[in-house]
Amino acid sequence: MLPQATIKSPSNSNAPREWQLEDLIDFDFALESASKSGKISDHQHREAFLQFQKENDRNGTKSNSTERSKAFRYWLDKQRQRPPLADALPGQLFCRGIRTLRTLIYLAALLSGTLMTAALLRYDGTQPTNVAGFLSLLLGGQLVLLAATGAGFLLRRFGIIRWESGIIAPGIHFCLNRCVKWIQQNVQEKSSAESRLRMQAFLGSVTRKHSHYQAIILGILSTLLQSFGIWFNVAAVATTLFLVTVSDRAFGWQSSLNLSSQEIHHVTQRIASPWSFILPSIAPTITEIEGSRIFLKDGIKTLANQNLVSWWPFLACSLLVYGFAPRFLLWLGSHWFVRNRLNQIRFDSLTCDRLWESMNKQELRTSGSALGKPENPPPPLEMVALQEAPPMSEEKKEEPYALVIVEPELAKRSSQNKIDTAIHELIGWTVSRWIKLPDETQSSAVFWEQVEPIRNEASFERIVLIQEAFQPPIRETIAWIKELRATQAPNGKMMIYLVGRPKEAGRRQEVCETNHQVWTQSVDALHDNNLAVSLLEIIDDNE
Amino acid sequence: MTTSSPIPTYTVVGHPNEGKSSVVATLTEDDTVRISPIPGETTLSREYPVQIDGRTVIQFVDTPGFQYPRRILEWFREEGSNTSNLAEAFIASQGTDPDLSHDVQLLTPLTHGCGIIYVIDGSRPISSTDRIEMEILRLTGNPRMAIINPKEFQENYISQWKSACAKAFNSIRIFDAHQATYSERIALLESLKGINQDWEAALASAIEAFESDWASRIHQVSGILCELIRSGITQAESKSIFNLSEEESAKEKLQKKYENALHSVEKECHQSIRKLFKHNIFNIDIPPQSVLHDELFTERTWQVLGLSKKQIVSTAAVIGGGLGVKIDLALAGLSFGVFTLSGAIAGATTAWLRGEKLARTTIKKQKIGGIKITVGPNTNPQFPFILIDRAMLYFQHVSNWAHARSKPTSSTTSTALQLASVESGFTSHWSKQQRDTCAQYIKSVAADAPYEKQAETERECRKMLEEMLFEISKSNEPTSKAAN
Repeated sequence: MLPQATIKSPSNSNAPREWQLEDLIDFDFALESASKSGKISDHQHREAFLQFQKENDRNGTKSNSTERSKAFRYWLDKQRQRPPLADALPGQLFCRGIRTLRTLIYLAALLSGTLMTAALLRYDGTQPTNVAGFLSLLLGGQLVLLAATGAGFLLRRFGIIRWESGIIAPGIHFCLNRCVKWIQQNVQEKSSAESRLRMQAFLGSVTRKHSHYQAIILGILSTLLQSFGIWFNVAAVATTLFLVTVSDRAFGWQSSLNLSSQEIHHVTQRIASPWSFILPSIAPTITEIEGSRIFLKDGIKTLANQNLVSWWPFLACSLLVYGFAPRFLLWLGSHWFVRNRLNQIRFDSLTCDRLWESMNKQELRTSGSALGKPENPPPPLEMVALQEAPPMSEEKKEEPYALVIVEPELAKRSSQNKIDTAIHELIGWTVSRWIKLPDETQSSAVFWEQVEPIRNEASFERIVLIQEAFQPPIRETIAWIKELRATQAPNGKMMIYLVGRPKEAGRRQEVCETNHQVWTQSVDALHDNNLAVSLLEIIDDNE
Repeated sequence: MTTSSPIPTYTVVGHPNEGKSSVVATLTEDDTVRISPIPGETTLSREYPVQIDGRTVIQFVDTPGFQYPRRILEWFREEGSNTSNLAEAFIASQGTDPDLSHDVQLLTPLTHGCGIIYVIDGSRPISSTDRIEMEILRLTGNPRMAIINPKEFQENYISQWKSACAKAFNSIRIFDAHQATYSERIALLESLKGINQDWEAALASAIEAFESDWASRIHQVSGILCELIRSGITQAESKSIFNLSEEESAKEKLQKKYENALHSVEKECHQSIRKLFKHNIFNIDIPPQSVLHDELFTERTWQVLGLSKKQIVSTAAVIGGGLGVKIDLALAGLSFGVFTLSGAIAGATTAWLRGEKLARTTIKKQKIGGIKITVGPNTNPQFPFILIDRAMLYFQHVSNWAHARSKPTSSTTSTALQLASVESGFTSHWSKQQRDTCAQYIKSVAADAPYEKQAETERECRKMLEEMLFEISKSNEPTSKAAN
């Protein structure tokens, strides 16, 4: 009997859906909850994985069942059925917030577009709407922003500026940094160590999340901005058409410069060129232009009515082509960008690795029943998840070598083999190297000398630091961890395993909750996705 | 500040979260010192002067923990030959680095040559970082002492620590900042003399000032106890009623009022004692099993505290005889002491026969009509001894409650739990002479003796109480001593 039989399959799918932002937020929440509660190695993850594979087999899904993205998506659906995720669903909350914001933006766009256009088209029989003013107020700002966006894209495309640089992201960073600095200066010295540490950890995780979601959130913001533009232009065009249809409106142009009608006609022809192939007549003729020129001292009584109304098709088309169309295209582009980014997420952070490891690790359970019921004999010793265990994932084929770093005193007391086995059990890494930290007689340079020749080895991609939890994370240790992380490749991982204080020969106490919390929060403050803290039970050799 | 300074100054340093602030709080009897189980609570160095009559006799400096010990040691080793004041040179060279803010705070007092108290948690094994810190302190050249402050009750590593510290420190002491009693604090100050001869005289006078301050507190506590006895045995509540149907409810209300008044008197006494021992912020947590949680007139209180049956009979004879003396004196000796003798017998017999704890309720008819109901005073000879026992238990707890303790520890050896096991009070272990001294005072107050007589018996009683209080406060195991 396999344990997965007890799990209900998710009601919604045969194959997992694509990732949405809502899913990603929920996934991060569930993963963090599992990590913080020490349930990252829980057998339920394995059960979910076996269920996922079974469903794939049943549905004849050809997709590679070892693909993390799909397996994690399935795992997420399972997590959504149980606490704490079932009680919180932060992704749903976030998306509901975004939907509300979107509705407000639509309303604001419609309102502002209508009011602005109506104000510009105001006509009391003496002063026609100035065409240049109409276009520059309704389209000028939009075109400037569009030009800036285009220029920014081109500069990035040709590598003149970095993709990360711009106005919005650095602006957010600047504001965040100022806030953090202010908090540090004004609050931290007065607050207790506990609240200070909690605040640093919070800011660290916010920054970490921000970097993780940065592109996606900027994409969503862009979508919202483009939506505003679309609905603003729709409102402007609709208002123009409506007012022209139901009321008397007049348009004209004026200039203090000695501009001729021909020059203005030339400009209007240029502006109308995008639609001139389909609708060549939607641009005023020279006569109409000449007939709609206004000299304030003469008034408009001498101007013909047909000339004064001849501009509106041109203005409406301008709004559609230069206002609505680019916004719509940018909106589509932003949508594509967000979707693309969501699909590109690799789920290769350290915590994802740990979850993946526990999903892939075969679980052996043994159980027995009481004797003395011959009519219902007890089953033999039960071996669970061995016969039907799926083949090991492709990732397992590559041996994940790791480097262990340890304090000299701890190295003296503990058994290297036992620690290596424990690490392999917990995270699936194969320890291939050990490095002892320098003792009090050696300089810190000794450590870096040991590290230098192995920096390009596979083991350097996965570092395990065994740390006695009762030694608090002083700044020097944290700075050293940061330096070590900087020497690893960008996707390199580091796991800090905390061990308790020695109790009696061979035994160690459990890590106290406060020490665990202090270490976790200090590491959280480093906003590093590939660095995590967990507990390790070890047995000392020489006490 | 310097070694030649007349005020001995000690900078308390160490690794973060080793209990530096706890040591300072306990030594200076200051419960405003910020203490936390989370490392990094102290971010700035702070001076804690101990003042007697406005004069600073000794000064402690609480500092943040080492944050960059290896970097400091490496710098010290590189620059060691170029300068004599390494701490000062380090600050001058590296002090502007904001990362080193805690270390600069820690090293700054050392530049003035003050003494070092290095605090370490003796319940954990020594690490290379600890050895680095010890070496830094050794290289500063300041007089120094190591305090092994076992944060957990595990002594496996104390000998390891002692041998490691012996190489770098002039003196080593085990001092549990959360459990330290008055005697242990004085012993620590005594041992500080040994690390720098220049400060011996100043420290001796500081210790003397501490002792005299302690004696003064004990003297004041004895006064508080005498006042408690006086208020307790003279407390009475009365009320006139004219509608006789209200008699029962009036009696009940008066009884309640009387008990509340006694409760207030006792609470006030405890608060005064607590204030004397400078516990201003945190609640003193009486262990849950302690008899002090019980009300004054509960069965358990009267079983556990006070005098034994035999002791109470002889004490009651002293008190009862006192009343007879008054009559004999009124008859100018013509009665040949008959009343004294019969008073003593009556007192002893009443004490033997009457086991009731509560004060009697008396009802008198009034000439103007109606009745006057009076509750108290409590004439049970056991009652004042119960009051004394409760006050002394409270004193024992408060005087041994280290100022670093904001809540009770889980220690099995804590004074708090020792108290919890108290199954008898202090007065039952007094000698007959001590009981009689106290009984004389009670008698003079109860009989409303002339002022001179009351003053004389109070003097004697306070003297006797002071001796007992000293014994309690100086003992590490007060309960067992009290039981002997």
